[in-house]
Amino acid sequence: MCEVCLKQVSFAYHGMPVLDTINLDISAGCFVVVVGPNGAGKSTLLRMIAGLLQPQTGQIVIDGAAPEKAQQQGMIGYVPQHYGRNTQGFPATAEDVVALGLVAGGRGRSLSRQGSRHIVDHMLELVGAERFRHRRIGELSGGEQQRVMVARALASNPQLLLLDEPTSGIDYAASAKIYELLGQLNRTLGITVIMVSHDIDNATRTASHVACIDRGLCYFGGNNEFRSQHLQNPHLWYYSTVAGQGGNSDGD
Amino acid sequence: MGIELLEYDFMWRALLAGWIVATVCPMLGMFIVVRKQSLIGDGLGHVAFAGVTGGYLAGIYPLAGALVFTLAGAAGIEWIRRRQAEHADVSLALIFYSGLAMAIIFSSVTRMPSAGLLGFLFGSILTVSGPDIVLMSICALVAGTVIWRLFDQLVLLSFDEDVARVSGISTGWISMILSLLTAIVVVVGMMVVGVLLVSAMMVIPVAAADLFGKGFKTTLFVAVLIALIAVTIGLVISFYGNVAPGGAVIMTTVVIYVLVSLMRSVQRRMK
Repeated sequence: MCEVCLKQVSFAYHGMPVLDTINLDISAGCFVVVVGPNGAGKSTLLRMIAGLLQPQTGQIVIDGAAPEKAQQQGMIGYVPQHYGRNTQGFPATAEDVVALGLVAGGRGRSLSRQGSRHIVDHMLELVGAERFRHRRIGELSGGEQQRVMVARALASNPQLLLLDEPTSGIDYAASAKIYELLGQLNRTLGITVIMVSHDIDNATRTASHVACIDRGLCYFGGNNEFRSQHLQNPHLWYYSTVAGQGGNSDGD
Repeated sequence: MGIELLEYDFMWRALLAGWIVATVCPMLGMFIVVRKQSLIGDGLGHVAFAGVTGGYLAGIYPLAGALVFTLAGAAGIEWIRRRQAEHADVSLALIFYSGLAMAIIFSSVTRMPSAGLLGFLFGSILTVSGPDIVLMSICALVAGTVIWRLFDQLVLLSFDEDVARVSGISTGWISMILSLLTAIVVVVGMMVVGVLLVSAMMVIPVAAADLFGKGFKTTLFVAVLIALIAVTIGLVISFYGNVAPGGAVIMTTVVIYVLVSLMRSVQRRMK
């Protein structure tokens, strides 16, 4: 389990501000869903927490250290948004892909072949992917691929799981199963989960907290609070949360 | 028929050189193909040609010249790619054409014999010398050892660069190492199939092995096996048919690709 803290974080693309002095305090074991309109900066926020982008101002701290240190320690499991373009035609079976998770933080180096095999088996079982373990990743359906990607991210034994729109392009039933799986992993393993999603309904049912980003600002609050406001103003939920709450806020 | 071929020392050297190339080219090619950088071998081949002619001009061993130029070219491609990812193809074209232009200038200044130039362009496996084999073996050993040591990291990097970075891998360094290894393998392969076809030796066996639809390690193993078979058959055809060995080897690889493709197509229909 780990805490994530964003202090006065800002980011701009080519001079165009995307995130403006964002403050977030995510407690260990939280399940946070990041929502907001297209281009709001949700993926940018996630990539900054992952250490793939540097904030132009402010600081990001993961368990008291910079994201780069968390990367080296294999603390972060990351499932990117556009993994599909890599998986299509990649010569690897589902179990090959899961085994790649052991590279994180050099975990695989300290394991015997049998030990690695055991972890891969366990991860495949955990996400319900054993039956297609020998099939190539590109031959799997979107939902199956996503399960494999989550298993890969979990194989590194992360304390923080970052997912960028893990259900995009997946039908409602498969999406619901993935949310159910993530919620279960969060509860049983205690992994802190931060997930970008457009699927407000499923995501807010599963998450403990919601971070809503719009026009550079971020509203962060408990799931129930967000759901009640969203239900009151289903068509204006960005405004009802962001503008209505007066922009930035720290924690619940 | 086979025994007659093996009575000649030059054929043994040719087979040895060919097998070295057949082992290392697909090993590197596997990563190049999955990273969608199949043309990097072509680009570096042209830079190697500039190195050969430049080496001849400077009075040094042409292969050493090729190695220096190709390593510099590979570092240049990677350096530009990291800074301007959206213009990666332009960086490759820049290095590619600069290499070719330099090769033309150097060869015109030195008046290098055309036989020597053709040997590097189309391969001269039948004239491979003992020192050449030693240099090729050292290069292949370096490439093989590095790939073996960094295998998992290279696979993850090829799968997804962002995921590799978040997993704590120094993606910049690993990418640079991969480019430099490609440069080394291009120089090794150049002697067997020539500058113009070295890229084919990296790409076609991998493409053929990929048709079997297996996992990463199996595909890599099959690619090396296909390349070894192609080199052996190609050299036999070259010896008895009196045709250029580089061309014979690559055409054999292409034929194997077509056969595997047909076989897989039949298998799919029968299912």
